[in-house]
Amino acid sequence: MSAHHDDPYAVHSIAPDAGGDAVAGRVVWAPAASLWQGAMLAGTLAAPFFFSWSALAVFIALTGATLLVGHSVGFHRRLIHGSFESPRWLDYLMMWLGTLVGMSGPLAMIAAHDLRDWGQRQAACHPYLSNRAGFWTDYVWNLHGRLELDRPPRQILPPRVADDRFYRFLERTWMLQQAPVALALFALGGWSWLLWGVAARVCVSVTGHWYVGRLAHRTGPQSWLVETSGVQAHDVPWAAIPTMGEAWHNNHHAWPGSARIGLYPGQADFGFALIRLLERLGLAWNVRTPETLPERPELARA
Amino acid sequence: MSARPRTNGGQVVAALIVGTSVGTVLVAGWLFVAALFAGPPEFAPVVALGGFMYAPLPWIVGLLLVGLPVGAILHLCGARSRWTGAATGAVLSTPALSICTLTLAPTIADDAFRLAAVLASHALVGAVVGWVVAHIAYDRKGTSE
Repeated sequence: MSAHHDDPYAVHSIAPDAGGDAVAGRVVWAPAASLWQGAMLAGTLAAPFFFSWSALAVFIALTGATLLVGHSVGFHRRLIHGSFESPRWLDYLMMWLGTLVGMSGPLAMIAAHDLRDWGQRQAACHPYLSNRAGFWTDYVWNLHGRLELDRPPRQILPPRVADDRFYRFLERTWMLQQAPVALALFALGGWSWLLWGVAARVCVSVTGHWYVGRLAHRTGPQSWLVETSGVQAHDVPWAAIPTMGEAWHNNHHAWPGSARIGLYPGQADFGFALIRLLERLGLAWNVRTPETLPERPELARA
Repeated sequence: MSARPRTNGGQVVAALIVGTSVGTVLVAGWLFVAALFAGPPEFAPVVALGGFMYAPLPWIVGLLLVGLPVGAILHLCGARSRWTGAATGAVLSTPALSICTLTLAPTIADDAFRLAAVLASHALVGAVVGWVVAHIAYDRKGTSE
């Protein structure tokens, strides 16, 4: 396992002694991301006027592929938590697909994820981090804003990732990465494929990510409590399939370093199924699951 | 070859008035049903009456400020069918109605199934209003539509 992922329960870019105050701060407008998400929403509102069954199929296929391979397995389980290892070329493919989800580049994704993860482990945190604001406020904050803490923790991205030229390229050009996909879709299926395959896909993926994340920190079944954390997680069972298993979020808070998130019978986890397939093909190894992780003292049954 | 549907100022005004009326009735009906599920049933008529009194203003303002410009663009593009009207109504009304609903009853958003039902019913309301507006706004005699 790579050095910065040695502790399967750690927030890897924020050390325990990183200081910081998770409460005091304000949310400011993030112009680039806001305009980007606004454009995707506008395209989505136009998409019904260009509906075709083939465009819907393109939407479903591309949304599924980017969320499964890119976001869930690539960004979240591999890059952020290091729950398995894989060859570099596959890492790059997964991170490109994760970037195509349209949320951010890989470096910003780690930074945003880890800040939220760190905040939720504090006794108290800003409502931006805990999704405790009202519905529309939470929506606007998360899709059009960013949190500026008065005293943020020291955050150091692992050099293996931060210094990687391909990841830095993806970070600088994350919006532009849609261009080749958009051109190909336009050439093959015109405006219909373009609007459904890019705008609607990005809008649904990003908005869905926020909405499921909001639910996962507010309501739903729980199997575990992390006694030292101020914010507890919940499962969102109906979202298990569209999120590729990520919606078993209570399990994830309990076992953040596990490649397997759907732990119990009936808990669909397509992300872990893909990792198992990759393992059988020799493309994934050191796959962590709760059975192979050390005991976690702060974990209690809900 | 059949002619395109035509319109004139009088038909547009009539469409706006009827669209507002239909929207108001549908919102009042929606509130009645929602109140039956959400609270003591005896309050449902009162809630519906409140909707009937307050819904016309946002509907006419929305139709004038958003529906009319969008309709003008669609008209110039030749998209004049009732189904285009229905899709436009659904797309434009759902965000507006949802903002109102979730502002008044924010806990709906914490239940994905209730939220989906609310969004779908809003889309249906908007689609009906859009269909009616497009139906009244255009003279379809001699056309294939």
